[in-house]
Amino acid sequence: MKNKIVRMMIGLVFGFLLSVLTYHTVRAYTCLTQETDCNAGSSISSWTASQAVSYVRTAHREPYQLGGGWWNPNQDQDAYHSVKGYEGPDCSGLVFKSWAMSYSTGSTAYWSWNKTHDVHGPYQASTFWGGCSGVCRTLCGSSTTNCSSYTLSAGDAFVGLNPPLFANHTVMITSRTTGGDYYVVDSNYNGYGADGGGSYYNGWRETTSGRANYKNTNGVKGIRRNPW
Amino acid sequence: MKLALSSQLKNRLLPWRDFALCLLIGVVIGVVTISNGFFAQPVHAAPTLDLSLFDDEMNPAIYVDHLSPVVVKEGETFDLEFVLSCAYIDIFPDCSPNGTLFVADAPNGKFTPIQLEEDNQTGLRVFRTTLVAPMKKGQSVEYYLEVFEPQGQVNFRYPSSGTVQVEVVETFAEVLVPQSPEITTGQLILQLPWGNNESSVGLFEHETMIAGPGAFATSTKGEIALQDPVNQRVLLYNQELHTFRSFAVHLSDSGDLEFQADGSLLVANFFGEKTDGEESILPQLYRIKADRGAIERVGPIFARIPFYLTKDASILNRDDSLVKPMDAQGKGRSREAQKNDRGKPPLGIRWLDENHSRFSDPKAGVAIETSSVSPSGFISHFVKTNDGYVIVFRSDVMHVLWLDREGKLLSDTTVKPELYTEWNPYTLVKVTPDGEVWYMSSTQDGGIAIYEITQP
Repeated sequence: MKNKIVRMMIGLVFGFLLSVLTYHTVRAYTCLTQETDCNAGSSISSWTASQAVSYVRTAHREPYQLGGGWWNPNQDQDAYHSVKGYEGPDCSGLVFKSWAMSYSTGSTAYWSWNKTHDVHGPYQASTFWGGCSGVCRTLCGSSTTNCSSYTLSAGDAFVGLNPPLFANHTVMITSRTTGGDYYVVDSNYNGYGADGGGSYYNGWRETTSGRANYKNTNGVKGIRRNPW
Repeated sequence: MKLALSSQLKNRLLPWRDFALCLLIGVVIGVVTISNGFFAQPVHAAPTLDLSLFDDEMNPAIYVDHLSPVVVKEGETFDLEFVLSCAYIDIFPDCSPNGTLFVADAPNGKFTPIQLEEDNQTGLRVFRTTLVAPMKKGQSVEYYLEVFEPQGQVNFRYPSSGTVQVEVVETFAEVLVPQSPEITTGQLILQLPWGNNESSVGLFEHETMIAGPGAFATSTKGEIALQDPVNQRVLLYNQELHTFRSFAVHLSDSGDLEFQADGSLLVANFFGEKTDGEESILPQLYRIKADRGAIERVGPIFARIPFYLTKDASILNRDDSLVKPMDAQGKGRSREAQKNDRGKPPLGIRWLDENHSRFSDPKAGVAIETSSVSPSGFISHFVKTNDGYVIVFRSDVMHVLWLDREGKLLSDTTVKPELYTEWNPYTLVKVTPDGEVWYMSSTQDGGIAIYEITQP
């Protein structure tokens, strides 16, 4: 009888722990990294190009980090984070979060990512070039042509693989100038830490043209998130 | 035998039946506990927007993307479009800014509200209307937009001060842009190798980043100034003496420099830096006085997206306003002063489509419309010179047009600058008052070269 009660108690405790552990494992998956806030964002039913433009603009004067995915939108460099590392997204991480792409490769579902959450996403610049596994589409340009005779919209992006200036890089368009040029959010050499201190030599800026002649360079594509 | 085994197994499993049952009950209790929010994040009160986090100049709460028509013809119908987007979608994901347009009623000068039509093409929140230009030369169309967003309780006027004015002209001087002529090369003025000694410029190559000089300027006294951000300095080259001087300053690849009428050289860092008393990184202005003493910091530039420096110490900003970061005594101006006292560019440009553009010089009463058979590229320069105007179209080449004072096309030429390092079509091309066009090229092995082209 005593053994039976012990077994029942163990069963109850195990059952309870099993459900709680399952819940936390699912949450940890959405959290992706062990941040103190563990706050990735949330699934959302819609996300517009306007929202993408607003989102990408928050990276203005924030650092760039290769493979990075988080930033605190205060137009300044934050201190090194023991878990997330240096602040700053890279180009594909910035477009991934700004387009509210799902972490699930090939899904056109929307996910509202918190900017301070460290997530790069599964897409590299080369994946954007290849159509984001179906989540984006090519509007103009190819490996041998450019977008000179196509008018792209705010929220669209340029992507290119050609060295030297546009090797594996992508930038988002935010608007047009009265002269017909594009405003883009692009990474720039900012003169900080070029000696390795904090590796903050490269920062994001909403700017005219960007740092290469994206529209007129063969091998640069104009792409749009699906289903926009 | 089979029956014996089955009975043995049953006897062994029987005591665990209660365990399995309790395990199931435990799971149910767990699920109920979780679904009741026991482990959920604490529920916060309804969000409120802290408007102190935003400012109109550097970090607006709501962006208004609008291209003024700049110049229209009498009686012509033209569209106005405003793209509105919230910067606080973290707090109010469904924020929905609305706008009411106020247009000046010509006879009495009163502003009349016009409800704009909303269009969500390609997911952009666009508000538009169509207006008709008055049938009277010299009478401008004047308007402003009142923006209101109910969730964040944001209410402001665009532009923040004054109105948008569209010049109305009787007719345009029509210019047919010729097919780009055969590519030529200008006259070589200065060539510098990559390096960090007194007569070289820095090259930074890392990942996708290739940085070099981002801007240059020429003076009437034969000086060429170069921003050398990789070596964190301004280089000043004297063409007559063939000497270099170096001025250490914090620079990014994004900036400009321009000689002023008093002989001083202004230097702008458009990425900027964080200085005492400022909470974030801001673009900065520096000056080398006419005596070419030390470089000194003037102060911050409150412009979110600066294009270039002008010869009268102004900076063209994103909304086509001229920001004046320095007062008449050469001292830096406050954020408020820069916000409240902005100028308007003396010349207007408006790219209409790949084949048509408009240009205006209201003071001289000149309005030009260009059309081209093949795509012209975007307009990087429209400059008034001593003898007329220079227009620079930028596509994969640089197409330069020289026009007389009435806007009649005189000649054109095409060059193709090589760009190994980052480009900046606004600050790596300069037009002198005499109508000479200077541009910078860069190559991987050859360093940088500055060329001059004159009217053919």
